[in-house]
Amino acid sequence: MASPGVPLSGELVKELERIPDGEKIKQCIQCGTCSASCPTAYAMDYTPRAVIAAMRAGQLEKVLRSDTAWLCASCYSCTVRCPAGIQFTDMMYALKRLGIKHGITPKDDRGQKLMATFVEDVDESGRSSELWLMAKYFMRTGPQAALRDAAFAFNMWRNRRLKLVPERVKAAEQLKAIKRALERRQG
Amino acid sequence: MNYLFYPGCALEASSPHYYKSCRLSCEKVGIQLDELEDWTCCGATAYVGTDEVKATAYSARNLALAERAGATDLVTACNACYITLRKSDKFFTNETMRHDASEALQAAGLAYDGTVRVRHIAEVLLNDVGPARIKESITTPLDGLKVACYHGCLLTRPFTDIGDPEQPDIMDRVLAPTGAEMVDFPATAKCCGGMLMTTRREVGLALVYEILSCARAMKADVVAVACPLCSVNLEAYQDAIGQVYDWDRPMPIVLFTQLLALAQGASAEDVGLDQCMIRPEFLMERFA
Repeated sequence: MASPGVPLSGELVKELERIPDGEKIKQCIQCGTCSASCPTAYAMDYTPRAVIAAMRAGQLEKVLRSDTAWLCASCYSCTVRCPAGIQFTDMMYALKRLGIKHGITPKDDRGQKLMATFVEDVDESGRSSELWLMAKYFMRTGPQAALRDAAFAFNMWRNRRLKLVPERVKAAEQLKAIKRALERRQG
Repeated sequence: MNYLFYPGCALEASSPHYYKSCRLSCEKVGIQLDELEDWTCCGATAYVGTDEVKATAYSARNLALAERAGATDLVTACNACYITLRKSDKFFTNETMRHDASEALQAAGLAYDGTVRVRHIAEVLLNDVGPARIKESITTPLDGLKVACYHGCLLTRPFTDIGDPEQPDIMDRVLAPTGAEMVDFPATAKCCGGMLMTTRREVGLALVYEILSCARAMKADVVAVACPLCSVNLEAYQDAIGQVYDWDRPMPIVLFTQLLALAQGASAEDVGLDQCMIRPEFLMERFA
């Protein structure tokens, strides 16, 4: 198993340099306000505070193999409460990107699969179609979940809240141009 | 008064009753919503986990279109669209990000100069219209109705400039002129779980149960929401919650604009009350 260790820590800091206040990640005092504020920390292997401790110890790979980042619901409680102004929610997004970049699959990869499906959908049509997002996601995660949610889909349809034909906007071409430009730059 | 409006994917598909009631309640206070032409998905809370620059460029494409249309404000009714578009606008203040995202936008013949203010319809109703003018538009008050206003996370987090990040009262102040009673609601900005309801059901159910049971404890008849995603999470899984927790009497979930439009004289049908997954029967009878 490759052990990027310290380089991963550096990469996380670098990822955050691209956003306003991203550099504040260096100012963590390990007070734990983030973890105490997080509504899903109880289910995480590494709480938000522990992620920064792991980063400092060069142990981020363990975090990426865990479900931590994928249990973040993006509620920003940690971010608004952090006395050091650390952009915790953006740190969780950065962890997701690092995991994908290094091909590290988390213990439970359903979050990763849902996100990949969402991204494909938007890239292709310029819009997200809830029905097709779910349908493709279920194909990737097994029929059990699909059966579980059949009643949900029926209920949505019954209430005229399910669009059967996905929107495909002509602007999708512009998104493709944006995508190509970025891919060219990244080589 | 006209506002440029960004509906977002959910208003188009899973929450047409939100879009409809938004337009209705706005019209009653002299606001017309003009849909941004050719808008694309904002990227929600998902895209940024794959590629931050692309996510920013995609989402800023909408801001660029709004800027080109000469708008100073771009209004949305979805908390996730609101925060995603606002974050892209903020990310443009970082030099590296602005450079990279601008280069990508250029490939699509677009540019964003950072002049658009992204706003949420609830905040527009509160600050631009104001309770006094809302009060003037009320013709059929909602006397006797107890409402728990659920703001969710993303209306006042991480940006805390439009309301308190822990206990926002934007919706309460918009709906107070309707004559309904706004109950104290400590869970108003607790998280509904977002996509966790799909990927980690047990975690999502626990979060929603906490919100719903708080509303019940405060004796609310109905929970009002200002986001199509919160709306689905709160209403669609109450059966599943009942299988895990002590929850057997479902709580109706409505969009706050549905209540506002009802008080402004619209009928249950006009505002699509029949599209709520847990029908607020008492309101449907009263406003039939």
